[in-house]
Amino acid sequence: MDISIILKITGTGLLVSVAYMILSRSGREEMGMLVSLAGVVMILLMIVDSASGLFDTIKNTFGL
Amino acid sequence: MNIFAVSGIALLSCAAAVILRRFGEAGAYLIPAAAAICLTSAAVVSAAPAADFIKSLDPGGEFTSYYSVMMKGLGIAVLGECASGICRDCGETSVAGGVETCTRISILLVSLPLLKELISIAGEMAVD
Repeated sequence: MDISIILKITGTGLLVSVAYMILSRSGREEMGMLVSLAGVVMILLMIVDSASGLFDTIKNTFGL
Repeated sequence: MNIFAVSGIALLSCAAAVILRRFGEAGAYLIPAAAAICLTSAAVVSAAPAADFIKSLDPGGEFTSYYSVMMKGLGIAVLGECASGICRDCGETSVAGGVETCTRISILLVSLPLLKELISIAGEMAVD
């Protein structure tokens, strides 16, 4: 069981949250928004990769 | 499958999701999704020996078509359950309902040849 993806997502989320807070408090909210968006896209790419692995596993195991 | 590892992963992902929600991070909703995908993958990989065992019960290959329908239905159900659960976690109940409907219809379509065969056997018995 590979839990690295959960740790990666948690780490990315925390980093993005901290970056957003720092940027928004220094008056650069648009940059913070871009950082937040980039973080969500990164996490989504990780999820898509993992979901693709799940689909392949189910296809191979159940003969779909 | 190690149930302690499964429980640990579930608790870890829930805790991480709660922490990230406090920060208002949009990725918090994707942690349970990732955990669900990990756990479903692990469950499917663990189920492979059971599938092989069921296949080995029919060495002559007489019931291969029935076995194939059963396994396909099981695979569709597992995938549909995982997807609808993730949608429900994200608060999209209507999408989850759509996925569940698609899952049921897919299983019905997969099992149609079996149903056809059953009806033909019943018809033959009725004629005799």
